[in-house]
Amino acid sequence: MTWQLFVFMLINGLCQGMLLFIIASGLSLVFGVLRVINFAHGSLYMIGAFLAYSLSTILAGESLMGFLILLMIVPPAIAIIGFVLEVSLFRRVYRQEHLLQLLLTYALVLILDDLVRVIWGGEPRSVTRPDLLAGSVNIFGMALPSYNVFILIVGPLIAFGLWFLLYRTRTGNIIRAAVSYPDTLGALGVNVSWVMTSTFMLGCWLAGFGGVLTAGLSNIDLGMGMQTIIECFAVVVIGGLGSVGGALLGSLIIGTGLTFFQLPFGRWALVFPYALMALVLVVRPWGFFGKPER
Amino acid sequence: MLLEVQGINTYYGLSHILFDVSIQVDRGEVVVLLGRNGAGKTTTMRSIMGLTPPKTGKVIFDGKDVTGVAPYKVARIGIGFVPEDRRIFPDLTVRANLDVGLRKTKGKTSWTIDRIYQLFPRLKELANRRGGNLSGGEQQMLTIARTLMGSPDLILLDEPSEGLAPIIVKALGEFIDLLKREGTTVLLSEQNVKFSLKHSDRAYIVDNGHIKYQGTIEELEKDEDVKKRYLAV
Repeated sequence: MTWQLFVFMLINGLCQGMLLFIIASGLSLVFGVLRVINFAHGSLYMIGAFLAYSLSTILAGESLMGFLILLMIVPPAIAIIGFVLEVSLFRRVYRQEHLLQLLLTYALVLILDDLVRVIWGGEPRSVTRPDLLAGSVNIFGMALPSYNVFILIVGPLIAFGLWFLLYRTRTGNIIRAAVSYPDTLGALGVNVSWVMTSTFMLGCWLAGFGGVLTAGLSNIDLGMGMQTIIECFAVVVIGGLGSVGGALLGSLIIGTGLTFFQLPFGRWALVFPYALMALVLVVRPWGFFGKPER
Repeated sequence: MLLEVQGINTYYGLSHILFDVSIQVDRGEVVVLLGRNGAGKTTTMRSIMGLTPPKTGKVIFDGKDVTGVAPYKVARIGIGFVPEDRRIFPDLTVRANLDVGLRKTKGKTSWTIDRIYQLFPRLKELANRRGGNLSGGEQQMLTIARTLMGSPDLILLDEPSEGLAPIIVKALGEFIDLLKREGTTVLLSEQNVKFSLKHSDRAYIVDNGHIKYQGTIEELEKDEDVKKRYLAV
């Protein structure tokens, strides 16, 4: 392998990883605070992607502005869907057994996925990249797709934003306190159910953001939600459920791993995330950055 | 009366824990709830706070009926709860733990982080330490300080002396005296009789979920029969 190929693949892998991180961090954050694994997270991500597609046909954007508008409108729209779901459904199952929570989120997957089928049909779609991001940039004498470079810039920004929110603001302190002792937090005068609702909305915002970015990167279709939620699940198992730092590590490992293994192994590379997940489950069931359940 | 608990009955699932428990606390008083392990002291506090709402009976605070009101609202009305098991947020620094407890209260003198640090210089030294890495005494200090940050009118201290070294228990007692001088009302729950009698104005004895005795500390000190029966003194 030449070093140019290596760098090229590394950048593609990191790009995949960053995209995965944006989605998986939402899943992990929501689990940390709500203690519910939201399998419908992938469906919300898919809705984000399809919404981006529909809006892009209206906005007729190939302009950067049009694309930025998608990034500004779609994630909040998914967050609002999240608000409705949290208040009407999720709130009722927090203190219930895991099986019931699983049934609820899985039912949502079926409903939302069918909704997407009814509204957008089964055909693959895509969002035209804005002119500015459609070409390529030269780095080390290699032509890298500028859209991938864009994701490589946006991903760390999101990661930094999340880190800042969680570790440098009072809101973040409250969210992290809710992860440990929600009752105690409530007794200190914090409206914990609002903390849960807003955390859920933030998770959905991230799913929507990932959806828009994906719509510009590749074709979107009905299977994308399911495929992504499974990958995200692998990511959070590897990184540790509830840990955003863990989601970053897990995403980058899986993103780069998938890219690199594709060269020698072809489609067999798809086994990699699950093999790694199985290995982590055996050796360190709570993941790299997670904590054993109390 | 600042706090009036009127004949509450509280259950954990099907088991009946509190039977017609009534307690009154006047503004500025330090009142202690004495009793053995499992007598119902913690449940009484959780009932007042709304964490385990009573099935029947009422909790009146400052003239307002707070029975069954969500704990965060009870806290905002002016009751602070310091749980027995301390519940320090382990991933948050000491400063962040305090920050989470901060509530801006209108009109009243409110506690600030600087005043807390003045009172507990040790917490200032530990400001950047993770809550999970504190000793028992430090955690007890922090959990009280965190609740104080909400500037409560009434503070519920659930077995604060439990598991602390004698020297720290002594400091805790002085701190309760200080709270009283500052005008904060305290409802204390304790098993440590000597400590409680020294720092309280009035006492209730709770046993098997029933209030068995109430009176001033002087009255209780003289009542050898009650002391022998319930306090094993």
